[in-house]
This record gives sequence, structure tokens and C-alpha cells, in this order.
Amino acid sequence: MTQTDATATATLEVKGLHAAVGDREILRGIDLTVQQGQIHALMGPNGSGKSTLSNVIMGRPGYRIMEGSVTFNGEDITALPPDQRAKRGLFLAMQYPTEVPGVSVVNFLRTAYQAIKGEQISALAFRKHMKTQMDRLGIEDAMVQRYVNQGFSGGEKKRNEVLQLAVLEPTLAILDETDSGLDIDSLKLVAESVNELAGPELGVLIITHYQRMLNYITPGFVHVMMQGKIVKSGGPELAHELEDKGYEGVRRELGKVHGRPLVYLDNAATSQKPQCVIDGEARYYAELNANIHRGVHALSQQATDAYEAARDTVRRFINAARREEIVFVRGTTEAVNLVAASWGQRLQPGDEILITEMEHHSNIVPWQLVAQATGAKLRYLGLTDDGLLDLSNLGELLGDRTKILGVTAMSNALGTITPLKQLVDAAHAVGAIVVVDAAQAAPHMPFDMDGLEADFLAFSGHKMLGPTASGGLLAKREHLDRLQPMFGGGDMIREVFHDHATWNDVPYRFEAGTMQVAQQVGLAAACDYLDALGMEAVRAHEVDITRYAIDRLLEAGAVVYGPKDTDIRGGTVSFWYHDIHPHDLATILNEEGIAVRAGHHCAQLVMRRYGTPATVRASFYVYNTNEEVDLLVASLARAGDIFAS
Amino acid sequence: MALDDIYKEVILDHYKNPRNKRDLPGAEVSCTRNNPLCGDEITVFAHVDDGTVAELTFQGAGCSISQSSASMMTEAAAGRTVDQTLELAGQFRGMMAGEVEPDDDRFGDLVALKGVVKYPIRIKCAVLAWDVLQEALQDTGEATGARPHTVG
Ligand SMILES: Cc1ncc(COP(=O)(O)O)c(C=O)c1O
Repeated sequence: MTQTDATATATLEVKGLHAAVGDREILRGIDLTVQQGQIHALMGPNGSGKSTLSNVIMGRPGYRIMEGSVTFNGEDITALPPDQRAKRGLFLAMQYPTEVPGVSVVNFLRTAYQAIKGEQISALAFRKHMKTQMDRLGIEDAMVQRYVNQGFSGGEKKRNEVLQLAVLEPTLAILDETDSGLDIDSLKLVAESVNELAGPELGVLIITHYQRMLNYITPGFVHVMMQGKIVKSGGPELAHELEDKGYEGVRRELGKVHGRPLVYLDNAATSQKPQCVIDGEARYYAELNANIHRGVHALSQQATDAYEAARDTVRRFINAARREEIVFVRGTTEAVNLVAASWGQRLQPGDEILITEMEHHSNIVPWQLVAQATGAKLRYLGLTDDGLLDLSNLGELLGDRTKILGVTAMSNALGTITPLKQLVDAAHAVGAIVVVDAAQAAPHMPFDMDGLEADFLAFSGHKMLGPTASGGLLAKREHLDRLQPMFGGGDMIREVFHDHATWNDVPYRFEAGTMQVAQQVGLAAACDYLDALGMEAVRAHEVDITRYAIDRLLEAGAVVYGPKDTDIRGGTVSFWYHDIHPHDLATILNEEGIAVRAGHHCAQLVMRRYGTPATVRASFYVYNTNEEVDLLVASLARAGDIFAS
Repeated sequence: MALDDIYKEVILDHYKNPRNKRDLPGAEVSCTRNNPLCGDEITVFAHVDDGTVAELTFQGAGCSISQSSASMMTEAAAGRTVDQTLELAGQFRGMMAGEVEPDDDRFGDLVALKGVVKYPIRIKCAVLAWDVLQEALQDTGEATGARPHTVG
């Protein structure tokens, strides 16, 4: 990287920087110089330390510098409070801008402006300054009259950050993951604004974990950060080497299904698989295949290592507290059945199991079997007219007799996201355990098993880019210790005698026989893939496409089931179009190259609740686009013509 | 194109303008069945007179395949003997299994449903009406002492 004369231009210089959060060292020797007039991009996977670096530069509390220096224009700024750093011309656009209720954007900016410039400015003069910047960025008056970030869309929040940048006129700006959670149109707008502001007066450090923003902003310098270090620096071409990470890469790879262009909107049933997952599974067979946990030979050990590493990856992905809290199973159905068959044995007549009418059959039928076998009573939380769980009689249904609450985190028929935390707390208050069906939630939104404190949680790998027969049952350690194994066989025992056997450790006692090793290894590749995209970004993408789809479908006259508010729903959209029977509609859409599901979606209680035998269901994932929604809606119109009488 | 095969005019015509879709007061034979997969439901009513299906009507709701099949069936079966009707049912099943090449004379409009073979999941829709009819006629033997019954 070329160094120009540091005295003439503002220069940020980071040297040999080591920094920690608590006891954990995150930055492990960073060297980086950014000058006014330059655009740098700092790229790297989640957790590589990029945001920590920006926080340390800005002096956010909670970070400890262990070694090295951060200077701005030759001055050591590490001891300065954040506002002093801002006064000297540093600016940080945050990844998650916070709301400031009661303060309008314009007032907020004027206060900040005066603080940074150290001078009073009349409201009128400030207005003028601001108006100039707003015109430059094409920002409308209405936005700056609103309270800061309150009710702003993801795109508006980020544009507001860019407006701050323009108004406050720093010499060096750090844009931390400014592209995260933006749909492509908002992204372009934000990128254009940054391009507008960039110039000899401004140095920019763009922090991002994927490359798509760099399709619109060309940095002069690109740095790749991994595990707290900058591992590679280069020119703009370096960003393109990393190209295959972003959505565009995913799209290129997965937009065609089995080599054919197909609009695949049946992701709630199962997702497509990226090449790295297919390769990961194949590589296991080609290079590591041996039976696990039993061989003395090296290959068996390597296979075991791969399988156990997959467990660690899943733990990280879903944020379970401990690795032994993950039992590998072949999917949600097996996970729920394991809990039902084992935990269910303890129930007695008079005990109650509470589930909801929103459940997939795999979270209903196992409980019916338990109820039949034990004499326990199965009860249901109902649904409201607009597709939510009806909690009005929760207090009545959930009581001392309730031993188990089974609930989905996201409905596969309606898309509804349920208020899990509330339900978990309510169940725990009466001493019931909670079994969460996360088959639809885990693939589509950030999940925090530890924070949720659910007792059991089930998910399927095949719905989250992973192989079939991969998946997990997550459970609190103390529950697993008390849970009877469902399957007996090899690997799950410690010692076997004529009349009894003792169990292996948790979780191995629940993994009898030869497991689906290659598939769980493939699942780990899928988790890494989703992690690289960022689950926040995955969710944001789906919120955008779902909002677009619902709007377009309603506009076209479709009846959409479930909530319309994307804050409380995922990207699974069930609908009827005119009175065309779902099977007829799905058949026509198939002819148009669009794969949707039609039927009851293994949720007959939901169908019955809303008085329909079936719906058409379009369900979106990371690779789907608004253009595909347009194709869907256009095909609906053609179906309408065919069936018009 | 496959779309034309399956949703040809004939199917849509029967779906939009079903033949013999009405109750049949005094029917000796009636039977209802549904297909929970898609919620198709069909009731068949028949006057069976001296071993002959003298009059055949249906009621129902569901997808175009199930409803058009029922409509076509009422046209194709009326006037045949119970035996002939059951034989036709067998042949229709054969066509849906891809084993019987339908002959136009006997099948009439029913030939239009041949394209459904390509959509195995929807074959159930096409044969539903025939299931119901067969079940209704089964107990009648040669129609003597026919008793109505309902399943479903
Ligand atoms: C909400 C929900 N629960 C459970 C399942 C069952 O998952 P699997 O078939 O992978 O066991 C599904 C998938 O169909 C689902 O959508």
C-alpha cells in the first residue's frame, strides 16, 4: 500500500494493536493506515474482529487495549473519550443504529454538529447546511422530521447514518457493516450516497463481511481480516477474489436448480444445497470415511474428529451453552419423537401436555401417542383470526397439571413467529418443560438457544442448506442426564451385561448405532455458510422479500393467510388466488417453471381452523429475489385467465 | 405442451359447467368420500333399476381434476349395467396407471384426463369419483335389494 505524506492529510494509524473484551483477546496485532481521500475496505467473516477494531478506534467502552497504538494525525487518541475523537474528525456509522425517541433527526444532528464543531449555529443556518447535504443525497424532508431511527426501515436507518456523515463533515469515517440487512435497492442508494461524499476531503473505512457493497463502491485498498489479524491486503481486485461469499455468489450458485432455471419457492419443505455442502459431504466419503468413536486406527479418529467438529459448529451456530447439549438426530421429527417417547414415559393420568393448533404434525402426533400410552391429557392453544397464537386463555390452559409445552418457533403453514420467550417463561413458572420446534425458525433467523432457555429444541438440517438426515435435538444438560435413551445399540452403552446395560455419556447415549456422519459434517458446512452470510442479513433479506411478496399478492387479489406484519412472520406465505384450487394453481405454476407447495403442509389443524382444505404456499430463502416474486405474480394472472369462466 | 394436455378445454369445460351435478331424490345408492390431501369431496347418487345405472348424479367440491372426472363419469356410466360400469371403472383406473390405452368410444370425454398420469400425486384426484361410485355399487350386486350407504 502506498504511503503519502502524512502531514498534509488527516491520517489514522493503527499499529501492532492487540485488544480484548473481558479476558478474551480479539484483536491480535493489527496494522492499518487510512488517509483522508482514500477508501479502504476491511473484509472478513463474522467474528473475525472487524467491528471490535472499529469500536476500539472510536473508544467505545468495554474494550481494553493490551498493546499497540491508535493515532489520528499523529496524536495518540486511545485515552480520549469518544466525543473528543469525534471532535477531531472521526466518525462511525454503526451497524445497528439505535433509536432516539422524542428527538427528531434534525435536532439530533444540530446538537451533534454544535458539539463537534464547538460552535453555536443558528437553526436557520443549520437548516441551510443540512438542506444542501440532503439534496446531495436525495433525502426527503419528511425523514428528518421523524424521531431518530424510530420506525425507520433498515434502509432508512442506514441512509440516516450517511446523512449524519454528510452533515458532520468528518475527515475520516468508518462504516461498520453499513450494508448488512439491506435489500439491493437500499444498498445501491446507500452506496451512491457514500460515493457522493467520498473525495479528497474524506477518508473512508468500509467494514463488511461480504462483497456486494463493493459492487457499487470501489475501494483503493482491500484488507482481509481473520481471527483478529489482517491476513491479506491488496487492491480492489482482492474484493473480487472474495466474490463468491455474498448473496450474488449464492444466487449465481443456487439460482439454478439441478442445472435448470427454476423459481424454487418451496424452501419451507426443504432448501437447495450450496456446492460447499455437497462437497463437504462428498469429501467426507472420499477422504475420511470410517466408522466413528470405535476405531483405534487413524482414519477412524479423523472421521470422529470431523463428526465432533460438526457438533461444535452447530453449537456455535445456534448458541447452545455446551457441546454435549447437542444430540445429532436425522431431523425435527426424530428429535420430537425422542423427547416424547423418553420424557413422555413419566407422565401419568391427570397430567397435561399443552401444544398449539399451529403445530406441524410432527409436533402433534408424537404427543398423541404419549397421551394414549400414559393417560395424560392433550390440550391445545388455539389461533386468532389473524394467524397468531391465541394467548387469551393461556392462564387457563397452562397450569400445575401441565408437564410439557410443545410449541413451534415459526409456523410452516402461516409463517407466524411465536412469542417463544414469553411462553418459555410462562411454562417454567408452572414447572412445565418446553419443547420447541425450530424446524422453520433455525434456518431463517438468528437463534439463541442459551438465551431462550427452552428445555428441548428440534431442528432439521435439510431446511437450512444442509443434507437430508442431518439435524439436532438441543437440550439442557440436566435434562439429557435424566432422559432415557430411545434406541439401544452400539456406541450408546458403557457396559453390557446379560440383563442390563449402563449408558455412555451424554449426548452419545442418544446416538445409537452408526450415525449419519457425512450428513452432519455437511450440516456443519451449511452452518458456516449461513454464518458467513450472517443470520441477521439472512433474516433481513427475507423480511424484504416477504414484504414485497405479500404486497404484490394482495395487490393481485390473493387471500394471504397468517400475519401480514413482517416483524412477526417469516418468509412462508400461504395463500389462495381467486377460487382456483391450490392443486390446480400449483400445477399451472409448475408449468411456468415455478415450484410451490400446495396442500395442507402437514398442518391440518391450521387448515381446519381457517376453513380450507389446502393452500398454495410460497416460501423464500437466501437465494430468492423480488424478480422471482414478480414471476410468481405474473403466472398467477395467467392461471386466472385459464380458469376465468 | 403438458399444460394443454392436462387442462385441455374438456377438463375445464366439465369443471366450469359440470354435468349432472345435483341431488337425486329417492336414489337407491349414494356414497360420499373425501381426499384429505387436498380436501376434494364427492358424493355420488344413483338410481339403479334392474341391474342398470339408470341415472347418475354427483355433488362435491375440490380441484378441477376431481370435479371434472366426476362430471365425465356421470355421462359415461349412465345407462350402462352395473357390471359394465364397474368394468369401465377398472379401465379408467388402468388408464390412470398408464396401463390401458383408452378407446374413445367407451371413454368419451374421459380421455382428456389421460394427461394426469404425468402427475402421480394428482391421480388420486382423478379416481376419487370412481372410488365413490365403485363403493356405492359394490353392495348392490345386480342391483337387487340395493341399499344406500355412506362412507367417509
Ligand atoms: C414446523 C415444522 N416442524 C417439523 C417439521 C418436520 O421436519 P422433518 O421432516 O425434517 O423431520 C417441519 C418440516 O416439514 C416443519 O416445517
